[in-house]
Amino acid sequence: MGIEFKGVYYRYPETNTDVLRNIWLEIGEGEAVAILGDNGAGKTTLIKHMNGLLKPSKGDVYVDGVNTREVEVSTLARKVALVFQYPEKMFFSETVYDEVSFALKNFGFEKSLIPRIVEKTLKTFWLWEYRDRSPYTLSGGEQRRLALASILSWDPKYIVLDEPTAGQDAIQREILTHLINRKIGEGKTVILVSHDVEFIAEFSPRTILLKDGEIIFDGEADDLFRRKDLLTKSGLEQPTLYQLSDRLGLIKTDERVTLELLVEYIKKVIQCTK
Amino acid sequence: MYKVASVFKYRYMETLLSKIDPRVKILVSVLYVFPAILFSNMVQLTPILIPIIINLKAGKVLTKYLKSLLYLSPFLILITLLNYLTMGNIISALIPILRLIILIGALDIFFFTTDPDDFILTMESLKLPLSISLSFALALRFIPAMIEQINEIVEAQLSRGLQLDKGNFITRIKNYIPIIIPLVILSIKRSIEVAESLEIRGVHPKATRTKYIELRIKRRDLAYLVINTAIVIIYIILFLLL
Ligand SMILES: Nc1ncnc2c1ncn2[C@@H]1O[C@H](COP(=O)(O)OP(=O)(O)O)[C@@H](O)[C@H]1O
Ligand SMILES: [Mg+2]
Repeated sequence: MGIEFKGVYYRYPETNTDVLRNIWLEIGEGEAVAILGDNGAGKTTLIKHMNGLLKPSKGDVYVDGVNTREVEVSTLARKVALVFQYPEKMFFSETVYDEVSFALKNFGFEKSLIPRIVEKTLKTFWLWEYRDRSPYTLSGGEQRRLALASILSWDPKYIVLDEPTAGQDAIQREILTHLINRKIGEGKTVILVSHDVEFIAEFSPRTILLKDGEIIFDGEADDLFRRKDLLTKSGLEQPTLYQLSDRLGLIKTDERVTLELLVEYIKKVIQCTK
Repeated sequence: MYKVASVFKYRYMETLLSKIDPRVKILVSVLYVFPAILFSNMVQLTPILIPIIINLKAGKVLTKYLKSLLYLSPFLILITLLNYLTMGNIISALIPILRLIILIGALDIFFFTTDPDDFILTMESLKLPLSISLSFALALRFIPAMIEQINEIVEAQLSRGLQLDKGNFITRIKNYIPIIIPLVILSIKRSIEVAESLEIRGVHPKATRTKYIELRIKRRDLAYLVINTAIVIIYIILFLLL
């Protein structure tokens, strides 16, 4: 069924310009989607429509065929999990364990099931050994993982992540990549908001570029990364791989730009010169 | 409930009052408090609301004032009810409420039309120590950031399935724990940051500071002050004689 935007406009009560303008968007089940755009493009505003936190000023949003105006956020949230930027700011429990069971209790999971789910989740996120610690005593990377764990524990169908790599080091990014790939593998719909093009390039998903509240590109990441003009307009850089291919004149080929392709090409050149 | 906070956010607007010297505005605000203290019956109290409302209207903050009263109404009704139960007279039960409404209106002439940045200048010019005026100004600067913070936290916890308006009275209060704890933690973190950045920039309560902006009373400030003082004095005399 998926998530569907039909002619959505949005304006905050305090502002007198539309932050989202005429958004038509269909995200199917099991799709991996990246939403790119510069600061203030409206990315966060867009995703807040997906679990009904915001309702369109004009137009409609449907989740699995249900208009978001007609259901409560708590009902939608069970299906569409939103992980905000810096989600570790929202910790309030005494222990890591309680932080994860919070949502499960809210969503009315059966009491006898909760301990098993929490254990499984904490183990998946490499946090089981910290279960009795206070969330605020964890390192930055561990906190980010806990924030994700506390949301993914209820196994939502749609996972929406707002800038998951913000303020994270290389190792944490790799862990995040791994966890996200795993969710995609499980057939979940993953929607990633980011301006980290290198991170996006790891998944090569369908990519949507937002500019001043409008969708200016919707297609394959590979196609977008070849379009230097569009990226520059949004204050984004090409991923290194694409910059290199561009300089080598490789970008004109129809083949997908991959590390392997590039390595092969360079090897050939080296052999020729020998 | 958490949406209430955004009503009180200061937004700059070009109005008759936005250019008036903040010290004059605070004086005028205080002037309008006097009748509320002095008088104690309905007939004497009610008409003072007229010039207050005109002032608020001139500052384009009348709706803001009415909204704030609306949000306070459960509280106001409760007080009236308690008064009524103890006094047994509905008219006298309404007097404290009326006073409160006047008081809020009077102070809003200053608070709703003055940039929090100007508060510090006002307080300094009233010869309050820097540590007090600075703390006060910073506290006010915190408010918009805090409102944003509250919104963010509420949205995040709603996304984790929290339902704020579920359950009986006690549960409803408990529902706010996941909002309040992160808010307190974030506020403490932020105030430590602010304290550090003040220290780095050489703020010291005992140091002599150079003033960057000096407040000067202009003709229109005087005119505004004179008009309002006249209104209040005439009002008081009139109703004392009545
Ligand atoms: N709560 C709010 N009230 C008023 N304006 C807002 C609010 N949140 C965001 N905006 C404005 O909406 C625009 C889009 O913001 P946002 O969706 O956060 O962009 P992005 O996530 O792409 O950086 C910005 O111009 C921002 O200033
Ligand atoms: Mg954003």
